[in-house]
Amino acid sequence: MATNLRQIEEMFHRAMDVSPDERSGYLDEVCEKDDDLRREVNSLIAAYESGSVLDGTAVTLAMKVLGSEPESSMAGQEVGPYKILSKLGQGGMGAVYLAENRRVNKKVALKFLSSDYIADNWAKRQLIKEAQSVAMLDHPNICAVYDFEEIGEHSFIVMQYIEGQTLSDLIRKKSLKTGQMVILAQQIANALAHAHAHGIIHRDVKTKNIMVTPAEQVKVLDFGLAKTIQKNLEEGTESISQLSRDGLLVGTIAYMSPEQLRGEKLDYRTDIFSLGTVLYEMVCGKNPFAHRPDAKSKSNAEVISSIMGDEPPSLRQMTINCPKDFDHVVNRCLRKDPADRYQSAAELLIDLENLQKGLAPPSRVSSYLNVRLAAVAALLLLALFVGTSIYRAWAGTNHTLAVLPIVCEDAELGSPCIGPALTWNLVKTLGRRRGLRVTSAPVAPSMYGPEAASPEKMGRDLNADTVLFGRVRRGEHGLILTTRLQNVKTGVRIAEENYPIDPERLQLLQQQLSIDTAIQLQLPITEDDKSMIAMMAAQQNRSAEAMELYYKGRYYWSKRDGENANIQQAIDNFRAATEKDPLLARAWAGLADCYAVTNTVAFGSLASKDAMNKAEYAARQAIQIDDNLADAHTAYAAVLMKARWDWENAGKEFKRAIAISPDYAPAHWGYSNLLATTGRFPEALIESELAMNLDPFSGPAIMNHCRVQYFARNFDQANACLEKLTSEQPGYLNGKYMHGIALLAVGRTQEAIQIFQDIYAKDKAYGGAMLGFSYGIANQRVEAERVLNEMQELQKQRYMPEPNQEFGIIYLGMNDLDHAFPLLRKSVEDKFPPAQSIFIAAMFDRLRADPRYAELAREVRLPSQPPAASAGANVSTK
Amino acid sequence: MRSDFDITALLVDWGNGDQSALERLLPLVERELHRLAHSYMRREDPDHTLQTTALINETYLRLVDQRKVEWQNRAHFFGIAAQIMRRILLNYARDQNRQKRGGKAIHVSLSEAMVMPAEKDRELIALNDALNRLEAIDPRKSKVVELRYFGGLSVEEAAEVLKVSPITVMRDWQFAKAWLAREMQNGN
Repeated sequence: MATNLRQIEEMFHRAMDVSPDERSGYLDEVCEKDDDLRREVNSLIAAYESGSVLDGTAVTLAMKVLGSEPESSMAGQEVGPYKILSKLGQGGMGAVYLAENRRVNKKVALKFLSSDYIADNWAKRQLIKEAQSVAMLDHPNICAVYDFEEIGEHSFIVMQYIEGQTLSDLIRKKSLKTGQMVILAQQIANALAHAHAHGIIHRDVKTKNIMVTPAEQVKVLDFGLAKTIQKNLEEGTESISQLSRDGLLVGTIAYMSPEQLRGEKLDYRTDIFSLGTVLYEMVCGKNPFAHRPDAKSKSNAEVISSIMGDEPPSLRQMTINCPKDFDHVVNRCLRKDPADRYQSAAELLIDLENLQKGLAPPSRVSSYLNVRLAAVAALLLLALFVGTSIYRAWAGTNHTLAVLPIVCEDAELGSPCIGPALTWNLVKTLGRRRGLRVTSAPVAPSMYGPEAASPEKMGRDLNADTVLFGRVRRGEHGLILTTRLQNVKTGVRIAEENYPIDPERLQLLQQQLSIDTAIQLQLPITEDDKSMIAMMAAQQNRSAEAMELYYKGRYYWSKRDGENANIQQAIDNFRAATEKDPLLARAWAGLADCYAVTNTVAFGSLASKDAMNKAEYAARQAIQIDDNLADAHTAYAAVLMKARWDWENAGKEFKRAIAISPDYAPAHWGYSNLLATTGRFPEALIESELAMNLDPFSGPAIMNHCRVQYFARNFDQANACLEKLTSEQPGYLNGKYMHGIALLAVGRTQEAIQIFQDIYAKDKAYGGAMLGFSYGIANQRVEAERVLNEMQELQKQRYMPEPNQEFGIIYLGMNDLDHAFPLLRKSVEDKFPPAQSIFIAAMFDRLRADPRYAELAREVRLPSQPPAASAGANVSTK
Repeated sequence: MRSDFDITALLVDWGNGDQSALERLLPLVERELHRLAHSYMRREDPDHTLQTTALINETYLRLVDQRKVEWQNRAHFFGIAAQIMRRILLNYARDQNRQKRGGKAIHVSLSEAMVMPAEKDRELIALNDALNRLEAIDPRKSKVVELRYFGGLSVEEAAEVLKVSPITVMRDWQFAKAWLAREMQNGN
């Protein structure tokens, strides 16, 4: 433009200064003959008058954008112990980041919750609760949730970091093979079945929530986290279209069940429907409801009406890749009426398993099943999971603890009960802690009383997450205080502690109680705690430094959750504590607990013997210094039984532990095994049932009880017990394995063979011995020998803890005692813990015909006569 | 706060002509704006028009140790904030526009959904282009627009930042509005 900008500007302002009516005349006058200038100014004025471009300000909009992207600047930041490395993705509730927990040098995924959630306290609390219950899930196909953290203004869920691709990506890339599909489907169904068994509905099963690792292991993400979103729907406060406009439902609608879209109350069957859509998409590459015949995407309204009313096009018509009969399974998942669908994930799983038998599974060994190698022959594994019961306390912010009155069991007339003073002090000291709300009640619960006064009920009434209660009773050497911390929602016990009461040192006891409780709630050690620990140390003439190390160890122990890194941290701290102060009994006991767990994790590995020796040493040190530690006695007992085969002393130690702490589940569990092994079944059954009732959701605890029934020759009860277990927890392989063994005992050989074939197909090392044994029993000698050969081949390829026993079992099945006996004898001589069952499990009864058997039994001081079946039991001839 | 001193020092360095200080300053300010925008979103009805400078002012007060900086540093700071806001909006608009043009349904995450009205993205991109052209012929006017529109500054505040009289800012603003409106109309 030739005309000078300055000149134009000048003219523009002048023209603007006169009224619009006079403007034209004014411009005629000043612009004279300069038409260009006139045109320029005119167009600017016209633009100014018509335009609304810069009206207002962009700040509000910029803030919305800023506020909507909390994550864009997170990478590289540090939040608490987490160093944020990179963004993994954007999920429904916020962004997910890969981070490193620098305390334990471990990669985790952090799911940050966007402010929309955090703003609403109800929603947040709901989310925390939900995350807590999801954290109880421990399953190879479920992405583990470790924690819910609130640090600064960040609220986030700490989850397992999974390397792999989402099912959505795999489908899009068309990289799934037909043979893979049923196996993936099984794993997803397994995850759902496990969650459902724990009362958790996923609510948002979709292809983006399912990860597949390079080893083809499925991990289902985000269990139950959709609940807060769903709540809005259920309350009917917002219409679906509103929610989808707000983005709350975007991308999810297409996987929702009809009842979910209607905003009805949901049960497990909503997940079955969503899984159906996922399976459908997996096979044909398209969501069944989200596409028009011309492959274009439907609008949300169309998707919703399609889910409500349309039958999806038949899978077999859509694709030639559909595995045989898979379409029937998918169709049944996709029924509009929940009553027409599979009624449980377990039921679906059965069909999937049957399907798989008709298909050639791709040759692969699922990696997680390899871990089970550690548990070679579960039958034989006398589960001595001392201290492995996994408790999660979950005391983040907003955690409410109800402190119920501590009662005196047999308050002597005239002697005052110190319970109320202890209770009051606990409420006071714990109430001061940040992140913990403490409530109380005037009435004490009855520990074994009717439901009306149970601690859980009282905790619920007080709106608490955790409840603490206790009693004072008379022990051998004076009064003993027992406290118990229990999760209100699940009834799972978090911890139980025993304290001898020294009337001279009540203040010390109160301090101990307060710190122990905080640590059991997984609250970190504060500066206040450190000074209290120093005071406690001084009162007991102990090193303050050692005490602090001990409590740090306890903190990591409380967070063990099967995390080796935390266990290692606990070991390091306990060991450092014992080095600083060799007379700190509780540190030794902690060390023994840790090593006992290490041993079960690495069961059968070479580390086993070493860990056993260390556990024994630590437990003995602890007991020597202080005889009142239930966990030390239990750990010691486990070592004596597992590694030394010293039944008498192991029994004494278990009994001592139970006397100190009558409700300590690991002691009852271990003791039940000892009693069964030594042929004392009525007592063993009482103990295993007690352990099961103390830990009612634990698969291993239930399996242990079923197995003791089997050992006691109560085969009908054992089978009923295992049938229930496997239907409730179909993914729990050890339960299935044990069921196979119990079926053999009642002559249902073919059913057992089927179970072991399944297991064998998944993991040869785990299933081989029992499959070969079952073939032998069924007189299918050729098959039995085939399995034996395959097992021998396998042994050349990889390490097996005790192949003697594996091979011996197969020979035993073929009734080839000359081969079987020397092999089994060898595993007994090696004191391989599972070999204990040779003297007790019914499947070894054939061996009793061999004259060398009685001699061997005498050597290890175990009964050589088969136990008589208890009344009502079905006696098998096989 | 760990970054207190850093930001203050960087601001002083920048005020003394160290251009590299600005590069280090930008991400720090942006992070804080983020944080505050969040707490605003939490506290207020998002549709409610916010006090325009409140956000930036609060950011400034939080980040900068007042005892250590000259008063005019505040103006520099406002300038930075406006620049950040502009970039953020532009990036967002471009992303949104690109996704639309890609023909795919926009995959909006829960929180991002519908933050920006559908036509607004194209308008912002056009405005940004026009503003770049204006900067080439008259940098001060472009700066005025940046401060007023993207930074939400009042005429007086913008005058402070640019060290000119409020009248000048007003005139610049009026002319820039006309000029940009015409550019954008022609551009379409």
